[in-house]
Amino acid sequence: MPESELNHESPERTLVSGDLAAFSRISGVDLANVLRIARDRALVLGNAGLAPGWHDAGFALSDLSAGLAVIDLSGTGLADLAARGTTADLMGPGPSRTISFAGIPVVVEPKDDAVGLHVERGHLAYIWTWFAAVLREPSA
Amino acid sequence: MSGWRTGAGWALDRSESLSFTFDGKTVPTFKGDTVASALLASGQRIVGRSFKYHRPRGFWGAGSEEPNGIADIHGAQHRPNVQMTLEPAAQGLRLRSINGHPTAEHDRMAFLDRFSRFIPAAFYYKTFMRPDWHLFEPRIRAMAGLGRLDLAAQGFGPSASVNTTCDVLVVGAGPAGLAAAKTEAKAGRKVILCDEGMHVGGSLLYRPARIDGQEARDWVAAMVAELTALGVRILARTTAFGRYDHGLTGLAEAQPGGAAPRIWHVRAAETILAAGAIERHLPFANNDLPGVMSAEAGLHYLARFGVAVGRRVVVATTNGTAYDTARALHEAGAEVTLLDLRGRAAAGQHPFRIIAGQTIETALGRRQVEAVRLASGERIEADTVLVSGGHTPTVHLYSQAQGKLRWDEGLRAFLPGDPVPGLRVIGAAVGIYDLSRILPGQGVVATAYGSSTALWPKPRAKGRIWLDMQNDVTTKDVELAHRENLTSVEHLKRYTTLGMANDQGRMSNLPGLALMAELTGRSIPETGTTTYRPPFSPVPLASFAGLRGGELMNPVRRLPLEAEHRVDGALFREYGGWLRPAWFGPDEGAVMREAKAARQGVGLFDGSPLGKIEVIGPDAAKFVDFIYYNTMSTLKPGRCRYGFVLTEGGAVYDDGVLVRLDENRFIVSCSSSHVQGMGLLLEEWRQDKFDRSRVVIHDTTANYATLTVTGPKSRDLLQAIGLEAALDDASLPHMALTLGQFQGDEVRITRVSFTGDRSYELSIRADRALGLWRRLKEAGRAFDAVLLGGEALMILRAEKGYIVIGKDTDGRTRPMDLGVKGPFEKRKGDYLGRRSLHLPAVADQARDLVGLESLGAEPLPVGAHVVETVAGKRRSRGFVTTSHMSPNLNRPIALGLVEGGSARMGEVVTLHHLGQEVQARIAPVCALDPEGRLLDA
Repeated sequence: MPESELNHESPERTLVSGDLAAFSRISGVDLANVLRIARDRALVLGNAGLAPGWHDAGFALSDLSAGLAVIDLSGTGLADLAARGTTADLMGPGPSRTISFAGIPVVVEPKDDAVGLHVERGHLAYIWTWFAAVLREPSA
Repeated sequence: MSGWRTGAGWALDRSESLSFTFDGKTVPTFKGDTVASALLASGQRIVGRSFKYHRPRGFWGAGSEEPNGIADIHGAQHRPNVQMTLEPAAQGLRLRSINGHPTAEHDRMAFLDRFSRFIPAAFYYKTFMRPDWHLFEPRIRAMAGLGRLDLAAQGFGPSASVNTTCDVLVVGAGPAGLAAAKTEAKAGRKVILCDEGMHVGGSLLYRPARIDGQEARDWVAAMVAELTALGVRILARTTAFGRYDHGLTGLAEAQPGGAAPRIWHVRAAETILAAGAIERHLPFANNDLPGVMSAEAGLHYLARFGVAVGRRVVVATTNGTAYDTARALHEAGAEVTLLDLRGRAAAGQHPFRIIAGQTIETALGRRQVEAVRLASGERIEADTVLVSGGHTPTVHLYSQAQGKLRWDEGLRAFLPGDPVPGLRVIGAAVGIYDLSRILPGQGVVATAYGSSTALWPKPRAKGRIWLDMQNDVTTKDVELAHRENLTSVEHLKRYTTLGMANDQGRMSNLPGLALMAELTGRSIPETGTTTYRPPFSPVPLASFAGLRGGELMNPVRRLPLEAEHRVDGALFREYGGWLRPAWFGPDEGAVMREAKAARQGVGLFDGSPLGKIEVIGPDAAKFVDFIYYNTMSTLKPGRCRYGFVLTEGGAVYDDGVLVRLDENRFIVSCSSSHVQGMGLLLEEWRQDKFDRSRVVIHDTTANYATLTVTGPKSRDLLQAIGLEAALDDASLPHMALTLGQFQGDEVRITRVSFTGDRSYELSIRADRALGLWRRLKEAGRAFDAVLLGGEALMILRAEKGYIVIGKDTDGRTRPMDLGVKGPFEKRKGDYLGRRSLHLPAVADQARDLVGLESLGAEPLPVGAHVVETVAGKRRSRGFVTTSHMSPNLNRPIALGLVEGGSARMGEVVTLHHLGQEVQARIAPVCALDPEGRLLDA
């Protein structure tokens, strides 16, 4: 695992819980562009523009920018790799973007021709090793 | 003489000659052989010894129904219990037969068969009881099992499992399965087709037939090409081993190169079972002799591998299919006699002798078949007996899916009954054996199954008649179970072990329960079957593990500053699921140096795994009051309080500091090993007991690095690096919080201590931590700062008597055992675990945490029991939980949980550990600075 990666500047991400409609109204963030991870919880990509903590409109925010690393997966082998990591459909994981991948919880961000996996930073070395092990195997 | 090679055999590549060894003997083979076909061709008759009686055993079948041909592969790709009928022959394989010592041919335990009358089924319930069963048990257990595991071998390489969905999964690629796959694929569905064989085609790989004007194998090849063009995924050497909830089917796909079979988790909208049927044995005396085989297998070996299994062959059959076998062997040059047990020969001209209506009374021979004697008394010389007692549909996956079987008297078989949603059974698996009915309208020319009869074993038959080859169960064992009144099919199974080996009764179950039915005057359906459970055939545990082995099993989390610590010479160990520095330096001597230096100057410790779970909302204060044993709602913003979280049973689950950031925001700073557990606990209570719209839980542990600065010079160091915060004791007393800045980033400065010294925890965004850490190290040089590893920290906290959950507590430890009684006695209102603390049973298990001073020079052993002798018996009254040599006190220190310990201060107790006894004095938990002056030093 390259040493520099562990201290790389992270993209802004905010955890929001509570009344998500109120959050969207006040912050101006479109809920269609957030990653829903529970009925009343979402991961906002980018700065929400609001202070962390409780907001009287009924929601709470916490910064999670440095807590997650994001790995982008793309290519013709993506489906094969995904089949070994998860039972979920990576491109269409369903209402919740939290899935189990390679045995750890990740947040899935479908992109145009790729998938972003938001992984707890403490697990980055593990999942990198997992990828290396899977990529050494013949295709299924 | 026995098996021999003909010039035919479409599966072989005779240009590639190979060899392997079996029991030390070299066996020539060709590419395309299985181990079984090569052994048969070489004339090897005895390929193993039976489990209990060590009788010589030869091959019965050609596929997964094979009960006898099991061997261990040794060497680089060691695998025990390999079915030789499914194992491709390969150059250099080293195989050892099972249960034969030194070889299957010459087994020194063969004498056991002479004592068979003393070791019938369930003998171990009646014999070897006196003086004590346990004297005999180890030897008897050592004789159990089939293959032997070579513990020094590498084992399977890992294979990641695969998750997939499809519209239709077809299990079995014989004629029915191939046709079904084509129908579904042409309808536009996504189809997966799997088969356990090396080649798809099922019975068409060896049965003579023409379909649509083509030879059977050509038809199969054309179907495979068409299916591939239609996008059907075809998986050969893949066994469907289990059917599970929600339409999940488990497949095990054989892998090359010593890797474990790959597990496929297939979720199909519909599953079609075309798993065929298994040929039945016939009941006659000595029907287990090497040379007695399935008629279908005899044809299979000849057609596919060019191996004629014998030269003087008796074929005994209850149906029309064995005529193909007889004809083919005759054409290959064998002398064939066919016994048609239906009472009349099949129509047509047959070039071999046919005897109608005569059963076999016994096979004759000592180590292999030499002749048969019919019921009429006629003796026929033979080296091989090929039998077809009918067929048993393979209904296992249907039954695993909770399908109810029904008995078909015409076919004398259990067939699938009511439909199971999402599951369809076709072909021979529903008792359709004629190819023309499986492939209607396709111009099939094939031998008809014809009429059939059944020959079940009869009570009181002469001689030893085998039912279960693997567990050595005979008809006499079933009769014994009946005499002992164990007549239910479940008792029959467990008393005799019928069907309990790894073939799971594929051949033995039905004749066994048919015999019990006759003995008890019931019908076969009234007797019933036992429960079908996965796996259908053995799957190595390594397959289920997949990639989860080595460093990929229970992976540890890694610190944001790991690379920096490695540069600084840290030795890493796992602590609570994290890889953390144990000490810094070339040897363990660094631990004592770090612990001493930190108390004298300043120590720097990476505490990033410490929990940082936010509880946010207008009900947050009410929430933490419920979660904690201690009252927390009175905590003011900017202050911290130490507390316990209990289980519902009243035991201490976690301890830690709660930090209040503002009216509506707290941080639960739980133990690093308990972050996931605490997160789940908090979320569960939030959802179950509180208004979810007024309190939320956010685990932000990973977002922050927490850098601890501890020691009498810690404040000086922080002032030197400049955090833009007031750090005087009035502004930041012990157990308080303030916010600072470092290079534009917010730093949460919490004054808490796990060492007992003045101490600060600096929490900063994990991706900004490196700069702060390096600044601390750089500025720390002026204060003789030392990098502190986990081992030194353990000593420092032990000197103060600070607990580590799970080390100084166990599943019974209550807060009052740790000296914290106040909340139990004074708190009103409910909190987690409160009710249980009032239960007498919980109170009765009290053990107090105390200090233990060794009376010797050496530290006490961790785990040593405090013992007392009561009524002549030694009884444990507690144990040592923590023990170190203290560099700051220059003596050993220890903590322990001891019954009534707090009332026994100063008492000398005896400790017992691994046969040795030492003495210690019960003392207060805090060995250093009990007044706590170091906190403000």
